[in-house]
Amino acid sequence: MSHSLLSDRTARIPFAVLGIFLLLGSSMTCAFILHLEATQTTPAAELLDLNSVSRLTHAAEADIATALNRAGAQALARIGREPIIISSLGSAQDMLTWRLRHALTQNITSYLLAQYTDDQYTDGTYTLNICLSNDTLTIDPDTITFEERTLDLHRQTLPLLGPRPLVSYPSYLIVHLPLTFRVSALSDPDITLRREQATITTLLTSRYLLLEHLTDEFQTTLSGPASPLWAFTTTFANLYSTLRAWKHYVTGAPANIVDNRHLALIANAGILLEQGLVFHSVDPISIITLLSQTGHALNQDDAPLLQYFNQERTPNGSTYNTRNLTQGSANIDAGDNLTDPIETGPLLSFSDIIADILYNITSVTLEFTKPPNLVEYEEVAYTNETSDQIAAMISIRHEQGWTLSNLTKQYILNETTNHAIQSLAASVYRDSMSMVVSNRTVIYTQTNTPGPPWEEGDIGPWHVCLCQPGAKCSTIPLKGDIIPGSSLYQEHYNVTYERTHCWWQDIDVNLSGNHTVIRIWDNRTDTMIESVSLDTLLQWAASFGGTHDDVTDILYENDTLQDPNLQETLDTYRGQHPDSQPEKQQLITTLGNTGATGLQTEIPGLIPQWVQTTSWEAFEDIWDNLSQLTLNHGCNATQYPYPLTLLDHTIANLSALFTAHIQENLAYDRYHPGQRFCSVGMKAVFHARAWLLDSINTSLINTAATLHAALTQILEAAIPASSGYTADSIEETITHTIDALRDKFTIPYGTPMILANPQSPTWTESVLLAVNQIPHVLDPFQPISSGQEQLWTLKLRNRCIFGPTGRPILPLTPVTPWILTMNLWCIDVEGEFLRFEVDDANNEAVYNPLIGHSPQPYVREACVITNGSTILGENTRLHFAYSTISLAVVPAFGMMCGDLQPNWANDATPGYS
Amino acid sequence: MGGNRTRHLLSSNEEAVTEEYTALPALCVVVIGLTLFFLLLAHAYAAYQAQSETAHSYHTAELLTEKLLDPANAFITPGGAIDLASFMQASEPLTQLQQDYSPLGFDFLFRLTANTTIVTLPADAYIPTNYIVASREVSVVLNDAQTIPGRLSVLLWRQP
Amino acid sequence: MPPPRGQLAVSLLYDTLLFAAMVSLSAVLLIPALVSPLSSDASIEKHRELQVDDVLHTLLVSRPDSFSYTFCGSLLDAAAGRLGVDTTSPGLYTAVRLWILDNEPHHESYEALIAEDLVSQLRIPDGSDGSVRLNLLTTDFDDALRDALHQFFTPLFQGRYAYNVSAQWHPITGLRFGGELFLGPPPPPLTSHVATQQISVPLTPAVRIGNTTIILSQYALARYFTALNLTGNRSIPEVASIRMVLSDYQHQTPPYDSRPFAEAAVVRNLSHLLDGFLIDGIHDTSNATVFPGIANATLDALLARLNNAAQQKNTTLYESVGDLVRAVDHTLSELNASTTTPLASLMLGHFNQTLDSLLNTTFPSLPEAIAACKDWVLNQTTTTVHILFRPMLEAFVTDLFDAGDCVLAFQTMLGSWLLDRLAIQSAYVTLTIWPVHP
Repeated sequence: MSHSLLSDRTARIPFAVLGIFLLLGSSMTCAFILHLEATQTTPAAELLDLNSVSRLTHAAEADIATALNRAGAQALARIGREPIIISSLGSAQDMLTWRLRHALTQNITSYLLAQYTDDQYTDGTYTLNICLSNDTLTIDPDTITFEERTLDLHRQTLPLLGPRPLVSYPSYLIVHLPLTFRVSALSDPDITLRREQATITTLLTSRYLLLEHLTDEFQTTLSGPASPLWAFTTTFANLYSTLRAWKHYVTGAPANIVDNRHLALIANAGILLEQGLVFHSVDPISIITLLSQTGHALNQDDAPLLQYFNQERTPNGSTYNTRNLTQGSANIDAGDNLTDPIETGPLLSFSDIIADILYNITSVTLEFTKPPNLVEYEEVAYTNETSDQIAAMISIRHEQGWTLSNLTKQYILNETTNHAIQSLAASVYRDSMSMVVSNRTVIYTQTNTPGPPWEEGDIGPWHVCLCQPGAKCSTIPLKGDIIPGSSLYQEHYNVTYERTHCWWQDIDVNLSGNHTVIRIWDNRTDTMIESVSLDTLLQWAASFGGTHDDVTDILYENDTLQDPNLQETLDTYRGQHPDSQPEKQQLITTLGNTGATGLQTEIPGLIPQWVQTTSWEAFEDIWDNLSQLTLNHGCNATQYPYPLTLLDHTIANLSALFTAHIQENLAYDRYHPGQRFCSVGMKAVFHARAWLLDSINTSLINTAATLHAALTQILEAAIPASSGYTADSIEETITHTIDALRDKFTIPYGTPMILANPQSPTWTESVLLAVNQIPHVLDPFQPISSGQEQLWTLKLRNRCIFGPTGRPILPLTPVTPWILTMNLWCIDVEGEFLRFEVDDANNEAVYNPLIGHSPQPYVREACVITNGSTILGENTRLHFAYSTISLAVVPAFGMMCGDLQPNWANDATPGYS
Repeated sequence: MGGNRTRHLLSSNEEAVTEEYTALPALCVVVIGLTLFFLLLAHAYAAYQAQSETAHSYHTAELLTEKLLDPANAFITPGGAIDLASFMQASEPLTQLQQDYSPLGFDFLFRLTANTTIVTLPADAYIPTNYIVASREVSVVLNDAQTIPGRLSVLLWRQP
Repeated sequence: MPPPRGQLAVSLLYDTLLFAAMVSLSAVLLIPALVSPLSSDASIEKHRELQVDDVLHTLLVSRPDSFSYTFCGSLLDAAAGRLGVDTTSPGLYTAVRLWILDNEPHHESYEALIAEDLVSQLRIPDGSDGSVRLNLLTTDFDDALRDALHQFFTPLFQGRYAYNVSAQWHPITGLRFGGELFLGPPPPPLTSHVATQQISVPLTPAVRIGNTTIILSQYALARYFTALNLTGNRSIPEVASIRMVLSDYQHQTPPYDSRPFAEAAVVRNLSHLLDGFLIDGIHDTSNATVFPGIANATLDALLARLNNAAQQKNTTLYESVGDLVRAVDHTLSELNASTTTPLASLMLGHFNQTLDSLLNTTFPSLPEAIAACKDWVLNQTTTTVHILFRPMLEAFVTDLFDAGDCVLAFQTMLGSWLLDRLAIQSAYVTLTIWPVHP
């Protein structure tokens, strides 16, 4: 049977056969998908190639940047060893740029020629070459540009004595170098695939600029008026001169109050302090040499430098003891122990002030001594020329080898004070009395009347025709009851008055047949007698200073105190006003004036002798009291080395003490125990006391003002106009810096400073510098030889303006008291460093194959920088110069204060010109 | 005799090989198996598509990083590093690239990671959940003195 | 008539099971397509290749935040202690020590640091296959740099990759002379990705020939050879011989008409020339030095500072060892005038000791030690050069003879072949990474 497949119904296709087809289908699909994937990966893999060219370029750019930095650091190191400070070819900045460009060009050109030519720089497929201008095969130096990066520098510092704590300095340089690259395939180097211009920019990692600016800042902290070194020297020198002057005032030694040896140490200590504050690092040998020289100047043991070096045990700074140089040197020069305290007593005391009120100085006795045992005395009378005479005498004697060892005053009582007491007593011993008409009565009247028809006509005034004194008796109240207005005495008078009394009548009178009326007059006299009582009243007694009538038992003599108490004044008054006195008569005879007063008179009383003496005793009492008052312990020359400040504080202190003890000194209760003064004399004595205290107060204030004015005037006259500082700036400087310098100060070293970029907070780094200076300590007595020249690295001069005696304030005249003696020294300092080097010790940017990295140096010394045969410019030494004033004020008398050595007017070190 | 008539009428055709009703379970299995197979095939193709899509996106992302690192861009410093400050202000190349790729259906953002600083451009983009990342190691210049390693990533996704 | 029925049949069950099995089988067949790693593997490989290039470039451009290495601390303590300084005192001595103690080059890129480290090592071949480091003062530079690199890579790779960094500077390629730095385990041969970059080296050795000074760089040497007319200069005996042999061979003149004989002669002469070029110097017939040996010149350049310092004159001593050492010596000698260069002398003594132990002899002074060291290195170099360059030499000669015009080939190829042996100012940094599966 033939069956077509279609009509064959004998079987069906088994599923397994379907399964086979499925298998085939899936394997084909799998293969197809894999093939698709394979074709996909090829283009992806080819992507690698696109990067190669830019990668090569980037690598070359980074490499050239590194080389640029390296070349720059090497160039800056060379420049740092010989920086150009002044040049005739341009400014210092221009010269730096020129030299850097020149060095970079040379270096980079040879580097580029070595690495980026002749297809040397390659990554296997492509090669990169630099295009340099063909004729010169160098880079044009003018295409290199620089940019400065300014960073903030943070430091610890001292106010007024150090630099600013936050400064912004350009610290880094950024170099821009434009170049042209050419990239080609290694297999066909002549065809340029890419040509590109790029500017290589890199930071030069050397901090040359920072070192340069810091050194310039160091120069300004040393030099000029009102620089930190000036402030330091002024404060230290004033402390020094004040303490030494006190020692001189008390003992006569040291003879040379301001000694150049010590000034040199002060100047060097200041330089090291400034160095430490500006750089936070100092030359270590300088510190120990300074300590060694200070010890030597103070006659301490001469230890080797190594011992000093090992003894410095604080890691952040070295302490310099100010006291040794101020107080210690005074002691050593006077032959005492180093640490003996110098008692700087008060500049002004009550004793002096009161003495001047109570006594006058007639003459001054100077005691001179000459070793071994000779003593001589000279006496100088107190006139207007006394100051000059004393000064001349001291100079002459000093030339002969005598030294002033004592100055004593000869006193007499001050007559003015005496007169003052007397006039005061006279004012107190006084009272005022007056008379009053206490009673007026008519005791008799007679009128002579004619009777009618008389008419009354004019009546004339009464006039006195007779005044008859009557009884007079004392009406003084009992002791203790007398008050103002009390009647002390009564006088009676009978006064007769008469008056004309006119009477008239009209009568008819026939005259020659005419009837006329005629007036006829009859003048009669009236009489009246009045009895008048006149009382003497006490107005006031013992009035002074607004108080009156406050004396016990006034007008009664006090036997205990032997005080008349104005008792005799009544008699005196009555004696002054007899009955015949016209004014009294007036009182008596004036009609209708009951209650009228008059004859008011002040009557001085008798002043007993003891008032004068008791007043003087009271004065002595006050003097004792006030002299025992001690000034505030802190008000001394060590605390306030500036005399004007010390003066102000002393006066303020004295005033305060005075005010605090006024009541005690008035001793009111002694003279006014109960309600009243014991007696008029006591009142007088009390007021004398008050007068003295008032005089003291006035004297205090006036003296203060006069002294202040005189000192200020002298100071301002001594400061030259071109100096750049004033008396006020000296005062302000000393006030603000004395606390930091009084006992000791620390010269900082070894601590890093912080450098931060204000725009980029993550960029913060630390700066640690190493400083090296020659000479280590500037010595004014020893020159340094440098080549052919002898260099004096420190030159000092101190001039004692007012000579060996100083200047008395107020000047010595009979009328002005001598309160203080002052002296003034003008100090001039000038110096330079033979060689000054700063190295950047914690950013060693200069590569050195032997030690790895080397620091960036910056050197200042005198040398000429040449480029072959051309002079490019000069490097200069660090140089400073300034002048300042040092004062000393001591109380009057004593040894006074001044330099006693022959060249006191111009004490200069050998190098000073 | 059914004859031709009966042969043509399937419903009355009694010539049969097997009884379909009794073979139903087998038919079920077969049908299910066939369905599974076709599903698998479809899945394979879909997986291939997805993978190819991902690979394509990844390559696009890589190309984007390449374009971003083109030295012509302002924030690329000589030496091939990225200047962070300029990068944060670089809107020009980003906008240009976005315009270029938008017709292709891609959206993306750039992210620069350096130390603890992460800069995303554009800053406020919304990131969907299904994105592709391509990263490159780059150096980042923070300032003249500091250059640190960082990573530049492109996050790419299809626009919905 | 009922259709014939077969006796053999497969049961429906087996059929279905078979079908199901085949469906599963086809699914299994599809699996490779699903999980094909082809494109992702390719992507990953490509990504890693890119990454290793990127990472290397990033490394060389980045700058470490703060990099420092100690230098000289213990030497300073020894020098100061000898002079009587109390080295435990926390005062001035500590401040001075701080100057010297740490070298901190701020803001330098890793590239600069690596190059500087390589040059400061002063490595010389030690006779066997290794090298010995002459400069022991800067060993901490190596360690600190390795630490810095480790700190750079660790957060970068985060444990996903292991790495190996090697930096080498060999002025004469193949000779272990110069500097080397290695960090990381040796890479496995198969799964690693490598990137190399060429970096420049802070050394510009200059060599004085007669009246001119030329810098030892390929550029300058090529121009010098041209000026010298190296290949045409018959006053150089070896060149003359080679030219003669080659022209004889070209013109088939006996005895140099047979290739092996000619080749042997050329190899011999070229070997002399290479020795001269690399080590002894090329001399002409009047025995004047036409070109000093590269190794000689490079060694001189490397040891120049040490040599200058060894002369012990203050001017050159401190130029060589740096300003800070001078500052410290100045300070120390003021404290104790028994010696003027305490620290510098100690440093130089250190070198003396190293050279003594290397050459197994005691030298009375450093200059003698340096001279002896130089001779020894040149000897080693000669031996190594002969062994190392022989195959290259023979290959070059074969190329020469294979070229049609031998003399012309000689003229054009000799200069570049000689210069290819050098890499004086280039160092190579190689980074190898491979994935690590935790």
